Amino acid sequence: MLIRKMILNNFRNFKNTEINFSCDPKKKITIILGQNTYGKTTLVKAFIWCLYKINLFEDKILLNSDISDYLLVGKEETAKVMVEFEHKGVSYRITTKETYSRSSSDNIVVAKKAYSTGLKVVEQNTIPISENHIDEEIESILKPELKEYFFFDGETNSIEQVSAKKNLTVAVTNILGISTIEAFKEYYDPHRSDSVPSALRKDLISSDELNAIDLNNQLEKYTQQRQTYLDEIETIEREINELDNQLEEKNNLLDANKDVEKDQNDKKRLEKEIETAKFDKDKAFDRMIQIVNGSSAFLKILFAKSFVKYNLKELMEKSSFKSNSSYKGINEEAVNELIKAGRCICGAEIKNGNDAYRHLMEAKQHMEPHDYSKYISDFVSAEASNIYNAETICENIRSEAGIVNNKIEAIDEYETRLKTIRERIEGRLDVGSIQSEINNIMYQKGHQQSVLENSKSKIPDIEKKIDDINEKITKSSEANEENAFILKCIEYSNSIYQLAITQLEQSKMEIREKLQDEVSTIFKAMYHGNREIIIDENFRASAIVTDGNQDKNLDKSTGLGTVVNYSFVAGLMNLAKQSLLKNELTNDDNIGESYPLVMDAPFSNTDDEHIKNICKTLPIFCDQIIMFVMRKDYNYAIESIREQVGKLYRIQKESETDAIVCEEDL
Amino acid sequence: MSKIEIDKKVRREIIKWTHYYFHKKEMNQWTKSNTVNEIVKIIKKEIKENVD
Repeated sequence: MLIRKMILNNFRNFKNTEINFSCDPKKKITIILGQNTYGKTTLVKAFIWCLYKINLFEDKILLNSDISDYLLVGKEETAKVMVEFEHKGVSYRITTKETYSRSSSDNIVVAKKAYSTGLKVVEQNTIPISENHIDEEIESILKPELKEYFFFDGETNSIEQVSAKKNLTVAVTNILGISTIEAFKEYYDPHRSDSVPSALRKDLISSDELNAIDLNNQLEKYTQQRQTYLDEIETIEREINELDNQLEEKNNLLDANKDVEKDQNDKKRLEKEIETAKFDKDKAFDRMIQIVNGSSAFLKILFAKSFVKYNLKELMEKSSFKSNSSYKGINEEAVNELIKAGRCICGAEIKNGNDAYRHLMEAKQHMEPHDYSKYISDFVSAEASNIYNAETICENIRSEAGIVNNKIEAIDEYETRLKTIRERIEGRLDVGSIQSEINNIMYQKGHQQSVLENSKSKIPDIEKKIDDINEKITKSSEANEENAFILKCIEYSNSIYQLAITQLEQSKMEIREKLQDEVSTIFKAMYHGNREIIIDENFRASAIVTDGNQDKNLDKSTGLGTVVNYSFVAGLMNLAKQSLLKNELTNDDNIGESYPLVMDAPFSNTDDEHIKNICKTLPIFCDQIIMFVMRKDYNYAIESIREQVGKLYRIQKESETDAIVCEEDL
Repeated sequence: MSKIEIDKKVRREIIKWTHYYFHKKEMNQWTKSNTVNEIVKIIKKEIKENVD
């Protein structure tokens, strides 16, 4: 697959732009220069949208703003991208469009969602690709999951992460031609109802027609059941893969924000402490108010207590009524009753003028109501108790006020610390929420894995049943010449199926070994440090130091990750264009294919020396390189690639909503 | 089923034809069932001519 041309109409900030890419094997590099915000990433995203209808823009409206601003209600305008490319000797022209209109509520809305049309030129005949087949056709050329290996959009698909993806098996095996062996396995699978052996078996003539019908019904049932499980397995595997990608993305985010984790935890703790302190302060204040409201009588005493104390003391000291001369528990009225009766309780006669009478008359002076000392004494005692209560209330109010004051001071201090932390972590992601998202994804993945295991465990049993029924059909067929011939055909078909199974496993091993050799060679040409590349069983590449210990602290300043990944992609491309797998099932078909490498801002985080090494090495292994770069990065690279640049363009920004791509002299 | 000796040359021919029909399918947007029928026909032809 080599990209020849791209035309954009009313697409984002490109109203009418045509770019012709260099396909010359000696001048395989196309450079597109553009400053930040000029639209370099838009052009990379345009490739992806055109081929896969995947809209990677945050603002999903693709129509040029100038065009949409002047769009009248009821009228329509279309954003369009056309990509022309060549694959295995066939030229393709894919055009993807999305139509917009202005709604009566004055909004720009999608009138017709993205749809693609296509043409292909086979042996000088132009054939339209039907709309139903266009996605399938593009997928057969370059699966959507492979797009990030060839289209590096600087914002969403960093080349830094490509070779560390969880599941590269599908990508690598597809690029390197294993899909043909997989097609053989599918077409010759005796357990599928739509396979070659199943079609052959239908030609067998049975000696027992009724039994044959029954067996064929059973066969249909089990092949369908198997297919349902296989579809389910495929769906779940895709979902698990998607969850793995999400996990990887979240873990990368977590790693990138690990340095703020302590600050974020402190921030949360402080926010909680401020909340608690404010609550405690409010509660203390409420209690204080309650004390004041519920103690108004005591409060009067509280404010006048020193005067009350003084007055009581004076009263007690200066009063002529001494409480110690008072009669307790007897009053004047009782004595009057005794005088009236003329006899005391002790039996003595009371007579006006006698001693008893005089003594009683004297005693009456020290009895209530003549004697106020008891009242005063009780009053003093009650007031003393009130003063004690008032003092307790005062102490309580002081205590609550102390709490309020302490909490205000604590809140001030927490808020000062919080402000500093907030300034430090401004714009950074919340590690806690990422971690909880990771936990959630892990939970979903665990669930999906158990469903997957369950579905997988059903397959062998169903296949055994299908094999048994096939055997019964064979046995029940008439022993005649025609059947013998069909059975012979089935045997050949089964032998091809067995071949596909064996070669599939062998090819995967072979590919891994070759990829490891290839990537290592390229890596050594690009990297000037002391490391080697290892490709694991899932085709993931990692750089290890030569003593065999994986170095997790990769030196990011030299862009080691970038070098590893360019080595990986270049190695993959170099193998893809070779006839890598030479075996009975692939020898004619696997002619090898070139792929383009489209790179947006490819040298961020890479030092000068590695930029030069990458630029020198990539063109050796890749047949087409399309590079979107800023002029300053191009100046670093130019020395190494000057001879290989076939086309040079510059994005010229006429306005925020209008950019054009101009060709420059080499 | 009694096992027969697989003639590798015939099998290679069938594989070659299968490749051809895969290519035809891709170029002409054939359905899978269409492709399977063509492969079945060619298997029968090859075996009739070279094994039977």
